[in-house]
Amino acid sequence: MNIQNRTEQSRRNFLRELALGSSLLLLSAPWLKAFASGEKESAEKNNTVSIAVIGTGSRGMQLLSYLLRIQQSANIRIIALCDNYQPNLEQAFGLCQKSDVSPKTYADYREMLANEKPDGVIIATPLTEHAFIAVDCMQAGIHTFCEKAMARTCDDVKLMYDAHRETGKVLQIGHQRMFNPIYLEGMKRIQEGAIGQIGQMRAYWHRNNNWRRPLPDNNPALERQVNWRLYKDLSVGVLTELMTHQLQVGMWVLDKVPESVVGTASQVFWKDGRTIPDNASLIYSFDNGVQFVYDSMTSNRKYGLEEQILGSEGTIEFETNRIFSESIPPAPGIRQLIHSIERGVFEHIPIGGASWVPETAVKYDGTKLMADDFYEDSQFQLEAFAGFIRQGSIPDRMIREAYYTSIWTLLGETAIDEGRKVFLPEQYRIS
Amino acid sequence: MKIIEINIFRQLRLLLYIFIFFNLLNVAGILIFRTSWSELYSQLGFVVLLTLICWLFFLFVKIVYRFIRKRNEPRISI
Repeated sequence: MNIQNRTEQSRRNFLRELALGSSLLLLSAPWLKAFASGEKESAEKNNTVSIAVIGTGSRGMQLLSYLLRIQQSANIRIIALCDNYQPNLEQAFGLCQKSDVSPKTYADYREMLANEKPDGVIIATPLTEHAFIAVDCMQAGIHTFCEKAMARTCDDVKLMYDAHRETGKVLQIGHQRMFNPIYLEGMKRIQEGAIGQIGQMRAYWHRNNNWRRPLPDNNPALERQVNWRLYKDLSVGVLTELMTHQLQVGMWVLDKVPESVVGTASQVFWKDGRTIPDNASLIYSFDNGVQFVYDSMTSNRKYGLEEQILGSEGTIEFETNRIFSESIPPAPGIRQLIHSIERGVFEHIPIGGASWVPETAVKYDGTKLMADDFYEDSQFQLEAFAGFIRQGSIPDRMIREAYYTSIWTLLGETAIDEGRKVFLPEQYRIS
Repeated sequence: MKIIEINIFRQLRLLLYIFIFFNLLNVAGILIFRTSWSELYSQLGFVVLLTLICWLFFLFVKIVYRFIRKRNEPRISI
């Protein structure tokens, strides 16, 4: 057994054990049933799941490579690829051929739906195209995985959710952290009360790059198609591309939906014709008084990204896989003794003392949540998608959380644009 | 040129004394700060490190001292 197979097996065992062994965890992550229902799944695993990929740009290619990697273990067959940009389509087809897979290729997803009948479809197109493609796929009877955020407008998000309810087809949104063992373990600890009562959640995502992708052949006609993330009518920039992942974590932690949001954003550094802001700050408030405080920027990356869950007895930092206790374990006796001798010697030298000591962060490494710091959660979510297709359903909480994450991400934009505190409009409330 | 002679047994004895001293310091630390007795072995690495540092410091001071004091003697015994 090679290392990859061993890792694969231990990860699957881990998820299965977690799901079977802890009702607490199933409560916080019911989607784990996709991994846990071993008997049912193994009985049906002989049924090959056919998948089509719509959108073979950078994210689509990543997802395709994961699909190719798990096609044997998850019994998946990639039957079709679709992209309206021919070079991307050819590149994706080339990737498949390297794995001896020859899917059919299409430039129009409607043509693909007319000719193919995949069990599931993966949508990784620009944000504004998610809704109508996803709705058409579900109405054609195809289970759908769609990249986050769900759509560019709240109406489109609702449309997708309604199509899922009406057709009964799976609609899974690409919030891969839901399948990450570090997050699952962290959620379990939170449920067990390891960090006490949560007072606040802080999250940030800082980058230092222009987020601009090179245009093929320097063709300016492709600018909006390639750099759609930079244009406000096509994307909400850092909100829909970055924050939405972290807001989902915040909702998962509390198992609640925010009550209101306030925010501000501006263009500080990248003034190159883009119409989205390059930094943003938002505060989401929940009905128990907890806030989710968020900021993002693209001209400094010192602090990178993190989701910090601040409790009365501890803190969890998911991205760095750590849990910290508020009561720091004391240093060993001999070290304390040497330190106090040292302090006794030097503090008797009269050099004047500070009248105030700054309350800087406590320097303490905490402990790891999981043994490994990195898991291929994007791959896990596709394995789960195959499982959901076989089950023919997806846990309700999972789609509700994704739905409200997208809605509240877009309401964050409204708060910024209108400079006011925004509440959930009734028409977007789901039962 | 001076010849420095290091008496192995004398140094080992010194090392042992220092090691015992820091172990006693470890016990004192446990008693004063009411920490776990398991630190007797969990902090052994730190105790050994302190012992070595202290011994090297002693050795250095001794060499310098003897070197200055017995400037005219060709052989220095440590």
